[in-house]
Amino acid sequence: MGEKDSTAKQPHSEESESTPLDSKMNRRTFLKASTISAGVIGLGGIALSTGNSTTVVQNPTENLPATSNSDPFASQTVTLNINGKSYEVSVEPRDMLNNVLRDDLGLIGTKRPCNRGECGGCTVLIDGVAYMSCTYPAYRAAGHSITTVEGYNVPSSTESQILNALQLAWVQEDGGQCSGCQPGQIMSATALLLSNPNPTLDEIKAGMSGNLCRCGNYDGIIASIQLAAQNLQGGSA
Amino acid sequence: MSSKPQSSGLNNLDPNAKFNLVGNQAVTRRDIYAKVTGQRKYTPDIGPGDIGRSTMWYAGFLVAPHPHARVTSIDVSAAQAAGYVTLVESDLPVGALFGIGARAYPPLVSSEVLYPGQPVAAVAAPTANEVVDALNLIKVEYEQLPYVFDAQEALQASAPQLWPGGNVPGGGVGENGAVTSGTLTLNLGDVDTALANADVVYEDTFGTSIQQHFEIFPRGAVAYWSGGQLTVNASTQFAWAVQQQLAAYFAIPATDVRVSTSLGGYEDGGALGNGLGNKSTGEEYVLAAVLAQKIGAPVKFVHTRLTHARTTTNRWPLSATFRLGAMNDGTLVAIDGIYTANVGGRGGAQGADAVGDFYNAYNCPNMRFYSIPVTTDAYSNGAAMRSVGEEQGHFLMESAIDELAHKLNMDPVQFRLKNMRQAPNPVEPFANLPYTTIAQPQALQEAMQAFGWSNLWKGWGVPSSVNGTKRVGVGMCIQNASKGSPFPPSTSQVQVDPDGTVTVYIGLTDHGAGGNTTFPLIASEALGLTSMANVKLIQSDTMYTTNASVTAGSQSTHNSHSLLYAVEDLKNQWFPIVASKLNANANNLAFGNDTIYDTTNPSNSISFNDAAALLTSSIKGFGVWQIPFNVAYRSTGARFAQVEVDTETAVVHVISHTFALGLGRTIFYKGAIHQMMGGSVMGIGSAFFEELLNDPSQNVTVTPGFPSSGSWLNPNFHDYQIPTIYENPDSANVIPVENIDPTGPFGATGIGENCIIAADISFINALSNALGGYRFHKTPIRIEDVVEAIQWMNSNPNGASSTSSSTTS
Repeated sequence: MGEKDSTAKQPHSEESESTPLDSKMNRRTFLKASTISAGVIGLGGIALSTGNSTTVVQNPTENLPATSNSDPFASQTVTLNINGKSYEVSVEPRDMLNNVLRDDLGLIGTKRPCNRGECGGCTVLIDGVAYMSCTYPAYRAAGHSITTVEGYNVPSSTESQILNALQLAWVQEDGGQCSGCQPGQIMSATALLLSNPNPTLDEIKAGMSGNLCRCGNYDGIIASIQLAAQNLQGGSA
Repeated sequence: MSSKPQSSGLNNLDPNAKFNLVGNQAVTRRDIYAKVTGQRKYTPDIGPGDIGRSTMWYAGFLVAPHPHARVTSIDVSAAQAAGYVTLVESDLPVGALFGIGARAYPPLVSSEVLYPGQPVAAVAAPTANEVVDALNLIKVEYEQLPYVFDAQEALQASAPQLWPGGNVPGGGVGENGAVTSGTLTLNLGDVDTALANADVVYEDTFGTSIQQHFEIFPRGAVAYWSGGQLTVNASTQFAWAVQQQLAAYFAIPATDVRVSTSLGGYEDGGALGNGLGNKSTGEEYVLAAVLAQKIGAPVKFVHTRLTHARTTTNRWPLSATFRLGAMNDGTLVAIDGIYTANVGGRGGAQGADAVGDFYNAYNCPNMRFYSIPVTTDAYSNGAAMRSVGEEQGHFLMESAIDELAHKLNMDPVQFRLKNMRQAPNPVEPFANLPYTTIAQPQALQEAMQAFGWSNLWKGWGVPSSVNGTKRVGVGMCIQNASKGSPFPPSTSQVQVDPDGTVTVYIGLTDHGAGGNTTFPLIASEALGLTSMANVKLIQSDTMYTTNASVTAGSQSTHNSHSLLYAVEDLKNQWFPIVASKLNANANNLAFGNDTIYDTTNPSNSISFNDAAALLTSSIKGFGVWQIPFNVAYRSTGARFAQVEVDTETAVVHVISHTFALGLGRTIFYKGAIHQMMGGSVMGIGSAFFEELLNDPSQNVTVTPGFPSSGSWLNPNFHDYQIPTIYENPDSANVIPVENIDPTGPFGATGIGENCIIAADISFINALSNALGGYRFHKTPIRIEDVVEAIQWMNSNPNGASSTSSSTTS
């Protein structure tokens, strides 16, 4: 017994791969080529709808760490690329990305409101697509580009630029009340604007439908997204 | 306390006053950037480093899946052998109770389980993952007992008796079935005679369901000991009550218990997450502290969705049978109401005020209310949830009132205008207390105009428009709700440092209502500041702040009135120093825009910061304020709604609503507007979705790995549905009515709870109008109920003029 045997390390690479967002496929190809595959069946991630399109990364054998022994429950060390920085962390097969971000890496901006994949409050971006981190196995995130709500000042990142524009709009339009759900709301909104820079009201609703707000502040959320979209279009973000 | 509304000399009650910050639409929520960039820590976010430790243990509950059972054995040996720390009732001090007042209870089941989800054991483990492992290692055996979910059934002598004195808390059921005590009776005038002489008498029964707060952030606490001193960082709406309870539980001085809703330090407090009433107190606070003591390390206890939903207080189901009497001219002459409150296994004492004192809404000379609280095995504890009792009470009464107006074939707005309590000189009828203020009839008139009622209302049961299978109806209601009880005096401090920094210390929390902005805003305005840039806030921490009462009951803005007295006290310390610099009389000095100036010679002034620089060290003013006891302190408003129903799919959508609410004076504009909108959205859930369910089957066969029948069905966001962005109304027009309340700071009163009250019945009345005047009797209005209404409408083509719309019981 004792403290969790976490080998979380401080970021060892300040400069990350620049990720041009208009070339998702190129980046995916790069990331795929850089990962290791192993023959263990994994859990699928749950994708959130992002307006026009829903993208689900659904290759169960992708990115599994090589098992060095026969214990299927053994922890493995994986490298996670989060907000442009690399982190090495030891994960159990049952560790979700949410646990690792919060409990091992201290990135508590990603919340864990329901821990059941129901409320969207833990949403992060994986290769620009919104996922609920509480149901996304941590090992599957290895080799992919993860963006959390803390990733608002990553240099040369369109995701980061959109994220920060949304955060500033959220202040202006009062997008959150208790704000417990807002980091997740903002990540879903980032995915939405990434795939659809000028969404209609219906597209905003579709893109945000997986994120619950118990304060009922949906008017504030819609206005914030509209303002951010407008600011980004006008180049003022 | 003085019977007259008190007022600080700094309290500007002029309705036309010009302010720098009060009501300023440009003021943004102070802590929102920190929250949306993930920097603000909520209780579940606290790690060992945040409290200066290197390790932290995690804790959770094992809860009973049965509604009524005897615990025959608990085996924790396997969990202990694996190195986990366990707690069962026998590990706790004998007779140690936890809870507020009459609702005190052992934090773990002592012998009998009284509702599904009652905590049986607690465990702690070094990682969150292992909490699940530890819980799986505990074996509990139960002897299941007959159970009762329904309040009317629980009143029968043959029903399982949950408490030694019977199922009516504080009372019992006599041999003839009559409830002997534990009830509430209010009587005014002569109801029986008035009903006998009335032109129209309408009798009907309405009911509501169990609702759960389902805040996005669950309840939680981090507890740790330093020597004999206990610190609890908790998501609590009332740090002082928790401090007192912990001190009593551990038999240590309250000064050795620190309860903080923040991590301390000069920042905008901590973050509670939405607090809708169930975050006043909870078992996790004491059990985290017991586990931390046992382990010798900090313990973080965060509820799962299941334990959050099933161990806490809930909005109790309330039903009422009314007899209403009116004259043909629309005069309301009698209200007779018998209320039954299902207050759950622990029997919340607050069930006694189950009437929701809705009798305030109508100026009716003959009224009689009788209410019975009944314990059942349905859920934990009927108690605080955003607008305690009022939310249910408004649905029941405004359903009946609307139907009475229908019977009279009178425009529902005209019926309210004729009969509602309104200015001038409104008085609470039973205790004969004068209102501090009332927004009626202004709120109703303004909302009616803004909504365009006269164009949209086509008569009872006649939709505003029909387009194929889509029918649009309009409806309305009024609201008149209590704003909590007079709690202990509210206190606060305001400090000025020589560098000009202002620090506001107030023992209230921000659970989404915007208090972190409202409180410093009020102090800043009193200090003449034009910006809050140099104003800091420390909220609700028993070490740094003093008791400012509970953050509940829409009282926080009112309770922050003490800030004006704190500024007054600060002034008395500061102005003599400034006066000698300005060669002026301290009594003539006043705060101007970022200045202090001589009122007899306004050009003789000094900037706020230069005046602060005259201080050799910080000075601090102390303020105390008490809500007057002998006034009626009410929230009043009116709602209009436009609802569409598709008769092919039975899908209902709120198209628009208009909501005028008296808030005294708008302090934090963006926050007030969004509370009014957001509370109304929550009301959509109350109207159409929200109901905490149990398996109604009495078959008690247990399938291994699955809860028994009688157990919970929907303790999660998937099955207990709260409004999503799709349910958001297409348009919302919220109108703050500035009915200056002389007891509030700058005339303001709080609105947190009042934003949900009556939202549901405004939508339901509009739905009724769309469906030929069909009267719905029980919330939530499920899709099956809508289907039934559509079938009724189709078989009653003259539904609008028919009087058979209510299934009178």
